[in-house]
Amino acid sequence: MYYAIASQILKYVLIFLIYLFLYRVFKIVYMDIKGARYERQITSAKLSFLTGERTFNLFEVTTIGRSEECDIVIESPYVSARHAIIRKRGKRFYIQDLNSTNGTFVNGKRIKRIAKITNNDVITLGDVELKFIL
Amino acid sequence: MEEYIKTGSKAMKNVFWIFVIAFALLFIHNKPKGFDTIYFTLAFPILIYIVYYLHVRLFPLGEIQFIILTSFLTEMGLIMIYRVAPDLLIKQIVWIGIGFTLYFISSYFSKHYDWLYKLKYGELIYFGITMVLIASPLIFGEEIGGAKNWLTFDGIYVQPAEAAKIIYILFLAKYLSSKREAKDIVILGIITLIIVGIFALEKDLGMAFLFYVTTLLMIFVATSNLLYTAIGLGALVVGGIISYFLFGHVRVRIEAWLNPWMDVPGKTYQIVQSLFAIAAGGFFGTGLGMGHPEYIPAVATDFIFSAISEEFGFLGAVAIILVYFVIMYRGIKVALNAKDEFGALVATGLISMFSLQVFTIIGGVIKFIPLTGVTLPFVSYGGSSMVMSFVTLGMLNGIALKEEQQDVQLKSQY
Repeated sequence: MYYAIASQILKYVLIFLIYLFLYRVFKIVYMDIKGARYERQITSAKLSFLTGERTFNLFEVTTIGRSEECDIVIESPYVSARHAIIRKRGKRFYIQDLNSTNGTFVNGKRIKRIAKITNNDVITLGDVELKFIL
Repeated sequence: MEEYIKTGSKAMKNVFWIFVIAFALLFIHNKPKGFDTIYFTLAFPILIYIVYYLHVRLFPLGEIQFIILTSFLTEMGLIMIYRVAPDLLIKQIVWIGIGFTLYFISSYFSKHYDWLYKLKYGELIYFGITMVLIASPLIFGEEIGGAKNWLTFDGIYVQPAEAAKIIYILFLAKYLSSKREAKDIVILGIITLIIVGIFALEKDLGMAFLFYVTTLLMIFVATSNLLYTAIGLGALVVGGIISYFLFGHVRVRIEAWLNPWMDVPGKTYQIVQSLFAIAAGGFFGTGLGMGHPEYIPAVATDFIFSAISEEFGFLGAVAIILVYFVIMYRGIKVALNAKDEFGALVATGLISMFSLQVFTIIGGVIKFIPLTGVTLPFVSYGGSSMVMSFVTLGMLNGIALKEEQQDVQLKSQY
């Protein structure tokens, strides 16, 4: 008899706890999705063609290449489909070559994998020269 | 990141309190038979806390949600198993312990999954193991509950098809990452038909369905060819119709699905009892110990979802389904983020197999689709299924970690 009453009351408590658990699980999922969006935030840094024809804003993580999927699309036969990636870590920016055919150069020097880039650095991808402006 | 872990810990606390309340109630309702039961029950929350802590420590970038969600699911399973079959509780807790151990082992193992890909004659080896595992019950097997898909060693029952699932996915991923011509797909189709045929001989239609649809999904993901998919789906429909006329047990299942009221004491007893149990539950359930889930046959294994629907109600059942959705979401995310094709294909295969299994059995017990006997991963009683579900998630965690690993290397080079 007492058991029946206890069970009746506690079933609401259990359902409440289960949904509190679910709320927290979905909160983690929400934080995850927000984390993915963080990569798409625009930073103050810019990348412009040396000829001055176009200027691009950089994201927290920016991909450069010939493919349509890249954030910055450069239509040149000397640029690989996914050529390079620029990431922001703290206040600094780093460029990484994504095993491109013709390589990535910073101020005329070919980078091995990852290199730091600073204001007014000239980045060469294939036959295209870009200026990094912080 | 801090808040991330804090929220996870809070979720684990909820799991703990659900456990305390439910088992306090159940121990009053159905007094534990010996001290063993009590000790093992107390070991469960300690186990999941150790596992959670270890996971945070060992894999800081891993899929911690897998641990949180599986703790919840295994706990709901334990509550229901103690309710309907108290004798099985200890065994189930032991299996969960083994499962978590294998989760960590397979995480480390598949973190370096390159060697799985580079293995010489990999395709032949994986295919050979799959065939041996699938065909072995036909020769040495024992018939339990109408299907001949069990092996027994000294009284321990093993379902080799559960292990075959993972090896078969490795085979598919390896095969499809290099061979995508029309000719290769036809060969793959023939292989799949042979496997489905063996399962049909074992009368294990649930597994046949899972293997077939997973192959179809992986072909679609690898080739994005709608024609193959359409042919595959067409063949599924044709195969279903043929097996309806060919096999007696298929006809029974489909007739029971179309009209469960035709033979309530006989052929459709299972599904009708399941429907009654779900109806008795209502929104909030009958309360633990107040329903009659023991009327449902095979309630600790295949029909555990109906028992949960009865005692935790519609809301509890929906919570279980939502938890499975989150696992699926995480799995698909792992597949999308995987760095190479092989990893992406393995992750896709594992998560499709897992989700298909979940929705075939849930759909079956609520009479949404014809019933096929597969277990509800993590919740149902059963060693093979429990262990292999943990290995599945462990491998997904490993694939996710491999991707993160490169990111860490990248950081250290700065």
